Amino acid sequence: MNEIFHCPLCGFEFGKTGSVCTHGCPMGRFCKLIRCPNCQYEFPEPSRPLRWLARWLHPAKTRPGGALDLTQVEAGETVEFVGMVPGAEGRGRALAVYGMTPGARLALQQKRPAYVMRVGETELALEGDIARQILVRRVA
Amino acid sequence: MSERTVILVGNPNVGKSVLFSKLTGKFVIISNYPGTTVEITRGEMTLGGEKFTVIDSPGVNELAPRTEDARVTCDVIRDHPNAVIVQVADAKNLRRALLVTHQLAQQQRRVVLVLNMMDELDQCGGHIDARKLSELLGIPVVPTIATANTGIHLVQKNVAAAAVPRLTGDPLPAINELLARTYSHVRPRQATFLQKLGWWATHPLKGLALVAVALYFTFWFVGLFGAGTCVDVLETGVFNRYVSPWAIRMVDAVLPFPHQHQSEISDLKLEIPLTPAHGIELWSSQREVLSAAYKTESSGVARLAHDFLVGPYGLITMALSYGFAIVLPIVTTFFLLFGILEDSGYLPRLAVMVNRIFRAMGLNGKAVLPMVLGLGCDTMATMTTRILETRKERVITTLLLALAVPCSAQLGVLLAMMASISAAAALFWFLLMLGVTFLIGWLASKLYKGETSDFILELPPMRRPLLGNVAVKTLARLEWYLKEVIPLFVFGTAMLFVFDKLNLLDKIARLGEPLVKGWLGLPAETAQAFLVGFLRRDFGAVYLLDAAKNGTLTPHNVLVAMVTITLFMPCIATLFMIARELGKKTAAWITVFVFAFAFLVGGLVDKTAHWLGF
Repeated sequence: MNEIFHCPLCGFEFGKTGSVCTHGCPMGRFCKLIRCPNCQYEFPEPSRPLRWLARWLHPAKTRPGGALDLTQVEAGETVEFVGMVPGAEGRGRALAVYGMTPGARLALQQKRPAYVMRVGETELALEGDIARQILVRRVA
Repeated sequence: MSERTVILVGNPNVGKSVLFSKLTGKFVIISNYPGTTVEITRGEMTLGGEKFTVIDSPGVNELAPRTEDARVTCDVIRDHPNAVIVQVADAKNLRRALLVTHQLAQQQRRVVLVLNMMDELDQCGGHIDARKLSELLGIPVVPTIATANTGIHLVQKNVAAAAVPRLTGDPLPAINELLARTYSHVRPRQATFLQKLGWWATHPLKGLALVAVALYFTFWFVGLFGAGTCVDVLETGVFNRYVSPWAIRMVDAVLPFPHQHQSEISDLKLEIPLTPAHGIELWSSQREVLSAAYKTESSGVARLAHDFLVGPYGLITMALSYGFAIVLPIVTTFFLLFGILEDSGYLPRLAVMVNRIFRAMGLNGKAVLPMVLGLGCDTMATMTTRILETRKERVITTLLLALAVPCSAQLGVLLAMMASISAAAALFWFLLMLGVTFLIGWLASKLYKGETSDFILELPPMRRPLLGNVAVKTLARLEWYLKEVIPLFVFGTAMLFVFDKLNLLDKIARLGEPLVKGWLGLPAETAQAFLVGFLRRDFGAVYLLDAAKNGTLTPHNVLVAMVTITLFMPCIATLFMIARELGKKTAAWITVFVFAFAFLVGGLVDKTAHWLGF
């Protein structure tokens, strides 16, 4: 799974592939630190329960430009699709064929057990991991 | 030659197959979920005295070989460079269709655009100016309602006028511009009942309730009504009372040798089933009928031929009566129900409900389609695993199908066996199968390298199934199933017949003794059951059922036998299909694993039960 990380120092968003250390480190693959490719800051990868806790303590982190990811939208809301988070362009292409192109309106119908939304006349189901990478904007 | 080819291309679930069958008069399986067509189908139509080859292709959202079936479509288009493309579009989803049109234009293909499902567009308040769209694109645009036969002749008339669409440059602005000029939409104020049903089906609580209702109804209709009432009527009422005695008398008249057939009591009860053991009795009768068993001293060709046809391992008394009287009603009821579920659009919503559970097994919710179909026929389901995107998912799904998903005929026999064990044991069997599925799925997902694809699934609108379509589809599946299964039964029975005549059955029983008696703790004669179980596991199960009925097996034995035979390979046809889909090597691995695992679990159940003092 292509995971997305946020650098706690500079706020840079990046995929796991970009976080490889320099060659010859004695820690090798046992090293569990992640390195931000932007500022070279190293931090430990948060575990699943920890991330869950963090989300619970710290909900709705806003992104630059007032964009939200789909998990921050309530069921029943209609929002405008802005794009995918960096690193998820492949999934963006897979979603584009269903009519999810920038500017399209998404009507979120439910969030559990999977996300179900309406794009045009297409009803689309997808899971939380993908919803987290979908950036949207509230419309008036 | 290739000039006269028409290829049907379009997004999944837009009705290409309906249009195909209307154009060519040839039947193809049609359902209300994306990915029904996994192979190309060819047919012919005559237009103005000229013959055209029509090719139906699997649905694609873009002309890139991302999945197995998308590759099939891309190959077909590439292999027929001069063919006319009839692009079928869901009128409700014009934007998505135009993305495909844009890609066809890039490849300089001549296209006719068919706007199908105009009735559904009307219902959801949309309107498309087809003439304007045709002018702007420079290609014929034909509105149709394929299921109602509306507009089909216009499609045929316009094939000659096909042209390369005028849709170039960056697709998004060009398509937005087109839509703005031709598409308008007024949303209706109230949701229809079917729309609401669709929402309920994916709702966390209401969805679960619907799953429970669907499960119970399936159990009642297939397990109790099909495998109980219908089988009773056909097996006892028709085969035991009329077909077998008639065949025995016929053969005796043609091939006379001194012998006397015994008779047995045939007990027929007609009832509305409530549980596997209870029901409301409507009618019952008892009668003495001729049985296949007899005693004689004589031997010779006449007796050999007689036994081949109507002996204890006879073609008519065993193979055909099993194939038609037991398998047919069960499979018919299942495929009927499956057809209705398919056409209603419920199955993709079921995928939404089970996605999380399937995730733990290295699959995603989409795998529920082959798994449910596997309850009808594992061979068919193995073929349908092509809708899954990665090899890892296909291998795991195939493995689980081969291991723990019994097809409806097998399920029917297993349900009949359940009558001789306690409810707790039956529940244990069910939970063990679920547990095994989950455990093996989970292990396989950890051990097998590879990716699981994203869960992005289009939910088709809920529709009222068309009775005609369901009926034709059920019949087509039945034909396929019987053609595959009846020869296997005949072959299996012939094999048993030969073994019996050569007195090999006892030897095989002795050979299998360490495994069957030593490890599984079953009587040595049941080795025969496991032997034919290699051919089809339900065939083996029928054997065990007989043994359970005449008291050779204790309830404890029955449970062990049920567990072992359920985990067997479904049938030899499934094995061939696995080899075709995944390669011989993978098929060999799956086979070795399945049989070894079946005996392992069977033995463990036996030992554990003894240890616990049952």
